[in-house]
Amino acid sequence: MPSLWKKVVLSRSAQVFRAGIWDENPIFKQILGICSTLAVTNLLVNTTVMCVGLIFVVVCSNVMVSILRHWTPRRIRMIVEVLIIASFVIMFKMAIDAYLPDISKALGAYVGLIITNCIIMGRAEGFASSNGVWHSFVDGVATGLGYSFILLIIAFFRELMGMGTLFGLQVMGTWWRPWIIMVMPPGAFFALAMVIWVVRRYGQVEPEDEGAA
Amino acid sequence: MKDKLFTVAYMAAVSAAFTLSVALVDSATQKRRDLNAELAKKRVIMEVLGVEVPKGAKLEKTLNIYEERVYKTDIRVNTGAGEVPVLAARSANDELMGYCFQVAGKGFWDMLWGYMAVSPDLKRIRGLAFYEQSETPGLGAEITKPWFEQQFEGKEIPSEPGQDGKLFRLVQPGGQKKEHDVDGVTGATNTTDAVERILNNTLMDFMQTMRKRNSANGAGGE
Repeated sequence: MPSLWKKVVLSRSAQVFRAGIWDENPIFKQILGICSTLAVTNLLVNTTVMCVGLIFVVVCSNVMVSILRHWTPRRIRMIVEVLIIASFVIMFKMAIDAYLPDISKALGAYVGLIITNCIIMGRAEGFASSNGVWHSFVDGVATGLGYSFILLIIAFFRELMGMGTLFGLQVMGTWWRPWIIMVMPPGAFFALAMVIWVVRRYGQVEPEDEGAA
Repeated sequence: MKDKLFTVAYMAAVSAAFTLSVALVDSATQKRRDLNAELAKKRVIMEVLGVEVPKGAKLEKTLNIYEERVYKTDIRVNTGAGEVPVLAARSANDELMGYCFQVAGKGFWDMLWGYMAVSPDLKRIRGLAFYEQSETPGLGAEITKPWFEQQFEGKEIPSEPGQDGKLFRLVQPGGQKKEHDVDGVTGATNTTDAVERILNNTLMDFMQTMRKRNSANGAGGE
């Protein structure tokens, strides 16, 4: 049994997974996709749907790019990647319009903006275009989850402090005076900076090489 | 040359494939999305007019109640998005419950769409609700929250606009409120200003239309 466990943990899939969640976490390690991190984290419900959307898109586009990687001519690969990403984003937008109309309304333009999320393009270009379908799939799931859990942490504190609610339910008593700034754009910067600080200080992420960008 | 041809053909094929899949998802969800949009509108109309819909009513039941109680009048009003007919609702015992018209205009990010209802005697606002907006969640989007919308319920409509030409003013919450003042949204000045402008313009147009109409009817010898 232990040898099987070792095999699983040391497998390429597990490494890819760990990289997406932690070692190369898109938010606190690569500082990518910050635009949406700042924009949709003021209410937990919206953040959750946004995260589901991002996971869906990054997984599907990774798999698709990986499938097509042997045929796609190098010089048009980025156009193809954008086309793939845009298609999945539009499909997701249509699906939530049809089945979750209220949340779709609340998210407004941000769902469409997943297209421009650098994480997805980054994974397609940096990983899926040169790796197999299975590993690209794992990479998509891990990257999506790595993005999601940080966003949910930020949204938790922003909604709690800014509105006194969690998922729209009042949790703070009437004594709580909402910190309006937390649900406004500056609050997003404070919350993101705090999360990056705490995770990098206490999360045992190996220090970056000096001079790394 | 062969390379170039392949590149073009490949791009065309991939584009066609993805366009087709998007089109398929589109047609599969089209009906539901249209229904959602229609339902959202009708719910808002009934809400502002005070037509009661049982909680958790199914889609069809909601639409049935709408058909039964809400009707179009021949009155027309100018909103920020053109001329639209004024709607009205009757109660279970056939009394007029109020008039309802669309309010629309440019918000901070995009168009705001909503409905406003006025009491049958034209003295009070019955209700206000927005059904489509793209304002910032948590800020401008607060205009769709009950605390904001409820301020308008039963609000008296002044017979003449104030010196600034407005019937209502949206002011900073927590400040001193005068008559006809309503709380705006903190941190969303642009949305607040837009809502103030849209509501005032449409309501004034509606009131004028109704006044003209009533005096014409009066002259007709009632």
